[in-house]
Amino acid sequence: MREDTPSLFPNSGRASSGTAFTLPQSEDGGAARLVTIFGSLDPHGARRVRYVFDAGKPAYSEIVLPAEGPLRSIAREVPAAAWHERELHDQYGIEIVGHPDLRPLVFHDNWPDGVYPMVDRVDDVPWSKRDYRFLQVQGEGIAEVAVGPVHAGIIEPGHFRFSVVGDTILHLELRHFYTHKGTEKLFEGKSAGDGAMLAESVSGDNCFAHAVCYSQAVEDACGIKVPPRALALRLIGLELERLVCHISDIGGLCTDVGFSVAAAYATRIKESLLQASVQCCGTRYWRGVAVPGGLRFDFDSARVAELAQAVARAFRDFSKIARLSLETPSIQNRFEAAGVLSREAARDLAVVGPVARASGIDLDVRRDHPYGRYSEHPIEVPVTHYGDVMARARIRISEAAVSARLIQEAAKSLPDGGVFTPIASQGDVQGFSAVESPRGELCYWVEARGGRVTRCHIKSPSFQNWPAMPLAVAGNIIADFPLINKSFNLSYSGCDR
Amino acid sequence: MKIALDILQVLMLILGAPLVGAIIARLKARLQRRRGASIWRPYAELFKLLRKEELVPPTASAVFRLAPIVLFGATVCAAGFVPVVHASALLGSRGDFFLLVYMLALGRFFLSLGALDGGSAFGGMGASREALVSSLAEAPFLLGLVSIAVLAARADIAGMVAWTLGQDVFNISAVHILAFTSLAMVALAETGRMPVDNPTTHLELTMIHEGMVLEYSGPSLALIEWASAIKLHAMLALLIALFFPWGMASSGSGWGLTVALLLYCAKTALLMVLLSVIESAVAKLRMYLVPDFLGVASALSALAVIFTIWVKR
Repeated sequence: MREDTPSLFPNSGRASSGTAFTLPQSEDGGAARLVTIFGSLDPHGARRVRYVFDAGKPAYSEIVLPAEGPLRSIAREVPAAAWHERELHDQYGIEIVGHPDLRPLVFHDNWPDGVYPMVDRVDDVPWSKRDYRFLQVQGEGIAEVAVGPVHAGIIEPGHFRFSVVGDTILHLELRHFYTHKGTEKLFEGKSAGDGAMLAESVSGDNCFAHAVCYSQAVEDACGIKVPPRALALRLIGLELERLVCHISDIGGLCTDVGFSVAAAYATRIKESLLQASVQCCGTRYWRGVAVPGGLRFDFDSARVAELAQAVARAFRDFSKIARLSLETPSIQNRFEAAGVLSREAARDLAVVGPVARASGIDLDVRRDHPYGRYSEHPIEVPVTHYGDVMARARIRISEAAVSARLIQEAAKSLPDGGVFTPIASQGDVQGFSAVESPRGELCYWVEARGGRVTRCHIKSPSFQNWPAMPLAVAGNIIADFPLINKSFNLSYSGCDR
Repeated sequence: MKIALDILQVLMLILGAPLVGAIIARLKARLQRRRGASIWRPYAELFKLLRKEELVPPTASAVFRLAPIVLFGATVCAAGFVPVVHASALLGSRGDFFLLVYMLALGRFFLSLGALDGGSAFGGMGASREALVSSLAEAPFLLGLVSIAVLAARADIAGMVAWTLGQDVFNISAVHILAFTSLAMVALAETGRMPVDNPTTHLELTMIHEGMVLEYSGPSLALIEWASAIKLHAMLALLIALFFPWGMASSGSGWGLTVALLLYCAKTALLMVLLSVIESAVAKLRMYLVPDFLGVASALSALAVIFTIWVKR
């Protein structure tokens, strides 16, 4: 195998120049977990970079640096920063010194060099032809297998380049961002209230988490208190979304190994929950429900009780089918020891959500940084250290149980009152919010002036977790990749934004 | 009269083949509590494909177009060796069981060539996996048939069936049980069914048979799909003929033939139910466990051959 060469990565080399800062520590003395890195412009148009860390305290810690000059990369100390810094470079043209790999991440060959959408005008960008070089793995008997971006099944686009020896994967290189829609740019100029609809479109099956997270960020910026009834209904929606997502994931895992009976049952159970949602609020995935300030409309309490009953039924059916599947020897044989993500790799890449919890990282925004009404409900966070497909499946099943319980509790103690507090448009405000979406920690950072959004940064769990996939698949056979990929269940659209 | 019956048998195997696959799919759907597609759908699909435009990769040679034709021809030839309603077959005395096994192998060989010629990564991957599976399935396939041939002292399939028909139903030996189990496992591997290959998957990296046919379209795809259906039907018919032939017509009388036909349908139905239950109850094997699966089949068939020594004839 060849090491990365300077010609491939022009900015490598350990440079000492560039603005730098001391990395924050967590309470136990280790390095704090990187949450996100993003750029913004100050009122005079000067570029700034914000680093958000989770040091274990209830609040996230933020570091702001001026970025008109070059910035020293932290990717060598914090590998999780690598993709964030590449995105920063693509969006703002900020020079980053000492980064091991500064190839374009977000933009593809058709995007011209030197056009940075967050600082330049992008109304009329010329079509261009850049050159993208994949990492080459060379040696005797090494073959390259390119998969996607168009796949045989109806799934989202993403390119996977495998270097294999026989059937064993040596290295996997990802190339995503085929569904990059410039969503963060599209937020600019939207009224703070309208932004929720755009946030919902970031990731289809997590649309409610996105809407709630965006709304919370705006509420944080404007300093408004949301009525308790709205918060309780949001909790029900968030947990229902997690339940649906996890049931669908277990069904998907069964489909991928051809265990068709369990897969068909999981699809049926998921559909029953979506239809119960329609009965309750008129929408399958709770689209158009959350809005900054609360909810767009109130729910009928009797309908909410019916929804809770449907959830109880669905969860009973699901736990039966999940137990049956995981007790089947042929399933155990496929799931166990496949796609192991080590704890070290998961920590280095600051992986979040069920994937992190399956690799021994005890982390859940609902418990660590409670929002909404989560502080009123005790949350068990299942954690296991095996890090294989089976561990991720088991974590999802345990989490589904917690979600089902939370929905029952919240539906039983649903407060009365209104569901909406109007947002007052103010001057220059900023807000941050984190939500535990079904795929893990989701963050929104919103800046608004006079009620209009001037910058909205979305840190999706998929963006954070995709770089861990190549580490989990290395050493596995290529025929097991779809299963490992499914067990991560990452969103392409959420990652690409 | 006999020749007409023999031709009818082959036509049954060819024309009834899509129905067999469809009924298995329907049974699996019922096990999943789905309604399932119509059992006549594969015929509509074949009809549709035969009328559609054919797309050929620009890099492909004549082999790409030739492969489906050879595959179809070879599979039909193989079907010509299998008795269905009476203990004789159209090509019965013109070749022994080796010819049947290698007719199927010839078709597979050409399909692999066509897949490689298509030029996509998945075609090559599917072809290499197919080569692995079929080379491992060859030994148990041959040995399983050898054990019956030794007992019958005949090498043609029709002769072996005729010998079995002369035996007492309750006088089955360990050889039959071992050979049946091994040949049934071979049939699963040979026809690309679960747990060796998943015929319904959309994941290109896990495909064997489907990977090989990804580049095919139109009439060529129709021939390939039809050939795999015939192969499945012929394998089921072969299992029935070798191990449960009782009830086959001994004379050309209308009554005997009707009974034989009805019994054949009932036996096929039983095998189809068995197959759909197996396919629903297990997950697909990890790719590197397929050799173990076929290794078990080889061991069983080898035992079957050894046990023929002690069977009284």
